[in-house]
Parts: sequence; structure tokens; C-alpha cells
Amino acid sequence: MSDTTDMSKTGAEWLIHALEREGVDTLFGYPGGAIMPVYDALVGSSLKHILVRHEQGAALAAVGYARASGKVGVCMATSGPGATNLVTGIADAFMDSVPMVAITGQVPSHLMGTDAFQEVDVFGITLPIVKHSFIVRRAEDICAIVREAFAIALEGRPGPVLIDLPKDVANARAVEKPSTREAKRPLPPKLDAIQKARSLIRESKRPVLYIGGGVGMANAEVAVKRLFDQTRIPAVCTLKGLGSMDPNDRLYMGMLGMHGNPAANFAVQEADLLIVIGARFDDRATGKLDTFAPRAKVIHLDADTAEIDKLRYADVALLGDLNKSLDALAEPTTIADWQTRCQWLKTQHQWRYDAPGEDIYAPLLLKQLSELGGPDMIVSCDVGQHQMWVAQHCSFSHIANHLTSGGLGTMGFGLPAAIGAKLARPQATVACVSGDGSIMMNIQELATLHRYGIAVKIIVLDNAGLGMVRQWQELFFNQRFSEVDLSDNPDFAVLARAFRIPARTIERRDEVLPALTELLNSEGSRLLHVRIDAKSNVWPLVPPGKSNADMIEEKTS
Amino acid sequence: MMREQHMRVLLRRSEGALLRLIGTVQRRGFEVTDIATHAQDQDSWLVMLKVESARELRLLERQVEKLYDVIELIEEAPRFEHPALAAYA
Repeated sequence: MSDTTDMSKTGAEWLIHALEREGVDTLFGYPGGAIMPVYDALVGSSLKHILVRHEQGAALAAVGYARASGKVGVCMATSGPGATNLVTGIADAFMDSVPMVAITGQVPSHLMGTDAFQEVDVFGITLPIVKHSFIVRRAEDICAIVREAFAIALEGRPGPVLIDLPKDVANARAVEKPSTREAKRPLPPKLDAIQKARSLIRESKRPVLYIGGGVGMANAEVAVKRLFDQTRIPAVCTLKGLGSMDPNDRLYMGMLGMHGNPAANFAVQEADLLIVIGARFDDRATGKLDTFAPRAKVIHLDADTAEIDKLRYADVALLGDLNKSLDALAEPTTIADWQTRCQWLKTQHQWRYDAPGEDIYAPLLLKQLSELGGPDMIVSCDVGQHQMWVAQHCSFSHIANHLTSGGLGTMGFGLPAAIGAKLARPQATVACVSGDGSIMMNIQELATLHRYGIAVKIIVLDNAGLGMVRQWQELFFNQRFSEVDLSDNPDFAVLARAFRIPARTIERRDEVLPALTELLNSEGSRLLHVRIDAKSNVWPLVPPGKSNADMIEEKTS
Repeated sequence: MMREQHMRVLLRRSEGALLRLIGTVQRRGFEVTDIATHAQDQDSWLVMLKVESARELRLLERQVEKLYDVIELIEEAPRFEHPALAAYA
């Protein structure tokens, strides 16, 4: 596959060649009829193909791979159901701005549009959830399309790109048409905007740094820390910005939003200036938008022009190179009263871990997991109560160490994303924190763990139900519980062992530390099944449609 | 608060480009009330749209500008001056 002057490669062989040239080492997929020529070309290539057990697992593993490494994640499936099964993972990548290239087989060109066997218009289906997409019509175009796809996936605000490859094109012989397309580099920020931003910061008495996941994508974690250190402006993070700040810093207020730290929400509500860095005013972060930070002016730093003014008017927009913008704003400030106020807020709203009773208290378990695993551990989680507990109680040294489906909220994300992350960073300890609802959505990927000997430490927090939905029904639907009971779950430890993954179940608080120690210190994959109180809720919370100022805490008797 | 607004887009003649443009317009909260397309040459279409929305057109324009098939948004030009599209004037 190394001879670039080869005049007799098929489209499929050029595809594999082009992926190798992009530096792809791992891709996730599942074969089938229309993509068989590509799987044939895969034999003998340098690519490591991970055979998942469901195409959604492939797409989400590619997301995990990309988020843990910053490289483009690649997944592949056949036409029809293979392609539609990728859709959720592609949407996940779109919503969380993850660089991904998804390759689908397609029925032969002459059959497209005839309702052929396993034909589906995946190009049409995915139009709203891709950054861009291609149908390859001529085999000689494939190398240029792959180059273009990788450049698009990475440049600016990253995202997924689809390549749909009809079978006849994959089989056709062709000469390569070379491409010199490079990913566009970000432009330097505009000087007058920098000057305006500096003035706003100088005039501000109560500024807050509002840090989102864009900081990780722009490789700007060092620059944002430098800005924080130089200015000592109190900082909050979004769900996807977690890991960019030292949780122990006295001016880091924690996560804002629906299940954030009250100190973070109250600081934002009192702010007179928000410096928004790679964040997009998501409704889970802002609560009721027109009451969010009502007295604050906004400096918005983002790679995507379309985010400016989308939900909140920006007094100053700083587009382009985030690192340069951040460095240009890094000047000392004189906001001692505000710093004192924020420190006081932080001390007033520390997490507590002294829950009464003998049941396992999930927040404490996750704090202990985080302490035992260390700040360099990658935690991939699913969606629901446990996801919020991870965000609240685990600490991360980098954004790339916290894999969470933020935008789409994809149940089933955790296990395949953990697989992708472990393959991207084999030296890292990778934990998957899931729930009894979420784990069942991609449980089949336990087979992938075993097949490749991928070491993922799985914790299933089992409250015998769909906890977050149950919590909302309790609090906002008059306790009319509807379809949230999962008390007939399978025995998760037995289930894991059926996939040849060692497992154990715990249900008492005194079992937690030994079990976590065993989990982290053992070789290979393990599953720890943790029974928790079915009635536990995530606190505090901002009720839906309410202002972040109206955050409510747990009632204690 | 609904307002009629106009947009002119020079679009690459690539597969799915029109669908992508119209889909973006609708998904971002704008109703297409009139649309005309004219092939400029082998490589491009001029697309003229009348849209209605309570949202500001500039927010849509920023979404449209991001599409890889969009060559440019044509601003401040007389609307619908092309002969083939005179009926829309």
C-alpha cells in the first residue's frame, strides 16, 4: 500500500492508502455487503481495524478516540442499517464538535435511487448532523476527498464528515489525483477587538471566566491557565470545560449550570463581565437565558462565527486563534473585593460527603475513584445521574480526560468511548462510569473489550431504574412515575462474566474502597457492579425553565 | 415580529449543496417563502431566497457562510436582478 505511483489500485485500495497517508492507525467498524471491497483492501494494510459488535459502538468509539487524543476518529460501516446505526454517533460528534470521518458503503451507483437491498440515503439522512459530506462518484477522486474530509473535520470548529462510497466506485480501478489541501489555520485576532476586550476587563469590577470545551479543541488549555494565573479572574467551567482548571484553586468556582456548583452559578449571576472562552451558552449551562448573568457584558472568544450573538449578545467577539487572543488578554487586574466575595461563595458551597446510612453514596464513591485513579485517569461516562455526579465529584487534569456526551446526551456513550480512548492512549488508566440504564444500550461492546484485551475499568452505578427521569418525575411531575423502573435488570456481574470480563457486585459502604482498589490495580478489564439507593437524586439543581439564581438544594430533615 | 428578509447565495454546484442550504435555512428557524435558483456556469448556482422569521437574518447568514458549498453571500446588491429571476423582483 505504499507505492504512490501505482496506476492500478481500486477505489477501495486508494481509500485505505489515503487513510494510511492521513496517519490513521486505528479505525472502528463492521463489515457488510456494500463495503466488502474496502474490507478486502484492509487485508495487509497497516491500519488496525477494531471490529465492534454494533455500528453505533464504532461511531462512539471513534468519538472517544478523537476526544482522548485530539486526532480524527474514523469509523466505517456498510450501507443501509450499517449506515443508519452510525447516525447517533455522528450526531454525537456534531453536537460536541468532535473531529470524525465516517465512511459508509453504498449500493452500486446504477442501483442508487431504486430502493435496492440495503440502500438508504445516508447522505440525506445525515445532512443536518455533519460538517460536510461526500458521495464518491469516481474512484480517482477518493484520495482528494479523504484529504478534504480530514482537513474539514479538524479545521475551525471540528466536526464529523461523511464519505459515502458506492460499491462500483470502490471496485473501479483508477489513477490517483493528488491533493494539496491543508486544514485552514486560524487567523490572528483583530487588534481593535483585543483593545475593546482589554478595556472591558479593565473597567470590570466583577469579571468571570466562563470556560467551555472549545479550549480543549483549540489546544488552549495552557493559555487559559496562563490567563487565569495572570488575571486571577474567578473562573467557572461548563460540563465540557472540566479539566481545564485546577479544582483546588481558591478562585475556581466549579461547573456552572443545571447541576453545577451554586458558587459558580451565583458568581456568574453577580458578574458584570463574562469572558466566554470556547463555550456556547447551552441551555443546560445558562438556565433561563434572559435571566442569565443579567448585568454582565460579554467578551466571546470562539472559533465559530455563528456562535457569536446566537443566544447572547456579545459586546466584543474575538474570533480566530484562541491562544493568541487569550495571551493578549492576560494582564493583572485589581478586583480584590470580588475575589474575596468569590472565595467566600466557594467556601459556602463545598460538596459534602457525609450522607447518613449504610447505602453506598455515589458522589463519595466517585470522589474516591478519582483520588485513587489520579488526575491523569480518563473517565468516560454515560448519561444520567451518574454523569452529573462524575462532573461534580471527579477531578481532571485535562479536558481530554473527561469524556462525556454533553450536547447530544447519548445513553450508551460510555463504554464504546472508553474503548476508543484506551486505544488512543494505551498508557492511561481508563474508567467507564455508567448506569444500569445506559450500560445496556451498548452492552455488546463488552465483547470488543474481551476480543482485543482492552483494559477498561467499568463501574455500573445501579439504582434499578432510569434515575434522572425518575428524579424529574418526582420533582416536576407530581411523583407520577412512568416507565422508569428497571428492577428486573439482569445480574450485571454474571452478564459481564458471560463476556469473559471479571466482575463483582457491592452494596455496602465499607466495600467501596477495597473494591475500587481491586478494580484499578488488577490487570485488564473489570466490571464493578454497585447497588445504590434507588431514590438518590442529583443535587443541587436548577429547575427546568428557571433562572440559575433559583438553584435548589436538597432538603435535609 | 415575523419579518420577510432576503438572501442571495453563490453556491458551488456540488452534490447536495441545495439541500444543505435549504435545510440549514429551515432548521435555523426561517421559513422559505420564495426560492429561485440559476446556474451561473458549470461550477456555481445563484440562489435567491425570501425567508420569514422573527430571528435576525445575520444569525442565519453566519450559519450559511459556514457551509462548505457556499462560495459567498452576496450583500447589498439589487435583489433578483437576473433576467431569469425577474418574476421575483
